[in-house]
Amino acid sequence: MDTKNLVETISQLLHTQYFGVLATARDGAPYTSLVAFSTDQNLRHIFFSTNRATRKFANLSSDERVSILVDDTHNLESDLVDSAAVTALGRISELKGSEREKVLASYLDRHPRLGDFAAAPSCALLAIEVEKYILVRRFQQVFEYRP
Amino acid sequence: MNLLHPLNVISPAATDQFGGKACSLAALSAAGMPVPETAVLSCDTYQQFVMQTGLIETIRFELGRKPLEEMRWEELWDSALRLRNHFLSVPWLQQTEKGIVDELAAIFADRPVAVRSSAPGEDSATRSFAGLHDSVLGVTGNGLLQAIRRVWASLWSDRALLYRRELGLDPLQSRMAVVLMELQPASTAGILFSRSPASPGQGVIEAVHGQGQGLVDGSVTPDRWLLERDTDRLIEHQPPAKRLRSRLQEGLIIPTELPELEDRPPLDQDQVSKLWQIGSRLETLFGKPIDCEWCLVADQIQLLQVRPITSPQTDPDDKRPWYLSLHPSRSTLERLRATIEQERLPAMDKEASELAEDNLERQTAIELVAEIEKRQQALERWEEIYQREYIPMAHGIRLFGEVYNDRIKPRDPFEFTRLLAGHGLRALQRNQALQQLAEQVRNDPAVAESLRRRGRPPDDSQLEQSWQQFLVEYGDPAWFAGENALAALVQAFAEAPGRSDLAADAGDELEQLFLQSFPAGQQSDALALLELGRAAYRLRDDDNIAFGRFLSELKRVCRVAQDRLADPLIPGRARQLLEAALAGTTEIGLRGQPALKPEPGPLAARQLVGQPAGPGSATGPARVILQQQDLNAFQHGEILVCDAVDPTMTFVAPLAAAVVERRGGMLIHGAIIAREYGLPCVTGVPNVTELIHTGQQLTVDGWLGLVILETEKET
Repeated sequence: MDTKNLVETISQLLHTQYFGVLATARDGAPYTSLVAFSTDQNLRHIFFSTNRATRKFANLSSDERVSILVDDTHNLESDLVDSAAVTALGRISELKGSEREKVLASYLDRHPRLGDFAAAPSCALLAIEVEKYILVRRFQQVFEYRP
Repeated sequence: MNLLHPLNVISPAATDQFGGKACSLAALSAAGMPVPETAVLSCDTYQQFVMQTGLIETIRFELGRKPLEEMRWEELWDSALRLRNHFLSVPWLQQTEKGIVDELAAIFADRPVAVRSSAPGEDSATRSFAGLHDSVLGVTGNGLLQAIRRVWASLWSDRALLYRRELGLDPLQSRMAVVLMELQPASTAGILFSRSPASPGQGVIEAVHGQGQGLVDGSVTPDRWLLERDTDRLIEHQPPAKRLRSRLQEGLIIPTELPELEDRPPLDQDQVSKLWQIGSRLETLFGKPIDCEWCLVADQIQLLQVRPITSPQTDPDDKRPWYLSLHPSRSTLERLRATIEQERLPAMDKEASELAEDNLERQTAIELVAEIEKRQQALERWEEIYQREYIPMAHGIRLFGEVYNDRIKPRDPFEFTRLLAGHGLRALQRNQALQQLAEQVRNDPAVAESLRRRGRPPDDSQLEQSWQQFLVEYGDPAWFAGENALAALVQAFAEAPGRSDLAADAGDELEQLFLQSFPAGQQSDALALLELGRAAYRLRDDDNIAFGRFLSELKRVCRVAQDRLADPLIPGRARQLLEAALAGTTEIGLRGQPALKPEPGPLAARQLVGQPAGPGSATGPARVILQQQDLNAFQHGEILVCDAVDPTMTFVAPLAAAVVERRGGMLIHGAIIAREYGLPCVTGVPNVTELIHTGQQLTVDGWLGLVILETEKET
């Protein structure tokens, strides 16, 4: 099996896409939101920012388990075979202090227009510690990867 | 809007738009050569068709399941058949279709037409797709639309895909124009080579009575005239052993006896020299040696197609003849069937039985060397016949399937296999014999105990007799699964709940439906075609059982030879020879690629995609077969996961819950045996033996071609 190829596909998705669909839960009910994310080189973390007054932030405060879906579809029929989608599963934590400063800089490299938003005191910078990725390609081929 | 283009508006240089065949005809027509009434649908029309109907996405989807270079020919067969069904059934714009029908009616009225492919690059000087795409002959009226779709679909036939893969051309860039030519009521037809492919100093004219298609597909042997290129001198006339005539019936070419013309060559001297002169003119016109299909109508020569002769093939690895043999004509298949059923299989059985009677234990070391060679040579001889005759015979399944799909237009393009299954596979007879052995064990604890302890039945017991008979008839499974393999199998069968439930099916109902789709006068012919399909399906598996007996014999002689080497009294020279003979024996292993063990790592498969090859769904623990001995441990209810199902593995089919295989296709042995037992089956799963490990819980979805692996619960 071409392991390198699969991991590269995941890495490429995470480094080329700007947005992903984040899933949180409250009282067992799922809730999804579109977020602007970035990742680190070894794919162990996915970062995003959100206002603390949002529903997703409230959900995360009561249940730290999340998943996020990132895909490269173009809303074309050919996406069925040509596109790939990766779901990351993991746990969330809020970044503080110097760690926050470091990640924020790379996050803003990826999303320069979000500078004011991410820097606002009401906004939290969050990290998903990824336990595993589930990659879907060629419509139905599914692999798991633990970073 | 005119979609049909007459030859006089086509520029001979516009091959990208009209393909080589149409452009050559346009050049002939412009030079004033006699060409029958012809109209051409351009590549753009093909493109409109695949875009407007969404077929282009269907093609991408079908070919995107797996990289093309990883697909075996059996898988390409399946993909091609599915695509063909889409091409024939997808609705198109009524207005466009009506436009084409009206234009065709204005040109041809109700005269029969030959519909042929004209793909760009098809007939160029450097590559030839000759014979790769379909032609449909003798079509009229509304049938033309369906014929055009059939020709378009042949751009995606398995052999066309294989051939493009070989040449490295991207199938998704492929386009096709279609030539519609009035079918000529030919009294004689043939092919002219202005330069002989075999002998560059000569030219050849081949001719047959009647239509030329029988000559093109090889079912009618022509008269041949050899001419010297420099002097135009006739060197030789070679008549065939027997003259037949190609007759066109319902779009099929039927070779027919012709007592009244038996002694008359299809051309006289004068006609031969007229044709040769035309050949010289064509060579001047095209600036290179050509081959040309022609016919005689009321003694007038008509030219049907012309193309430059492709550069002589010097590549010994050229696989094109083999690709072409994947679509033998019906008459070729009938001949193959007769040969295999009446000569080959009986000969294999006889030879294998004779080998089995050899008392190897009594032979000297030197004699054993000869016995090893004898078995080795037999295997090689039959392997060669297998490639040449048995594999092409399998196309009988597809030939029947295509006719069935054309008549019935089923939603599932593989519905036809239900008419073919359940007609006396040898593997099933063998497994029933195994089941009967198991029955005797189940009812007698003393016998069961003997099997467990000694690996064979008690001496002089009733089971012992049937046991010996089984070994003679089907060979000893010990050759693949090690000592006491038969005992292990019989015990597993005895412990499993009895399985008499071969797939019950609505085959009879479908058979009636199929036969009644033909007019009364053609039903017996349709039945003959069904019988041909059934024979092809049966032979596809039976040949393996026959083969297994030779492998079994080779294994037997090797074991005796190894035992003999343990004897310290063998003379040195004899020992050397025996050791050399043993070392030279064919690797008797599993077919297919060497299976690799899964490596633990950060990556794990969750859901694998293959081809649906046997409908149904089953869940159970995997039994991954990495080496033959693994079969010994096979338990009832496990899912057989392997690189390639060997004839030997079909032993365990009655114990299995489902079958998963790396090799792909509906027509591989695993799929055939799975359908016989009604087992869910998925084939063509890349690297499957590396990705799944024994004991892992699997769900096999044989409808969708998916294998879903159970992983631990998500966090």
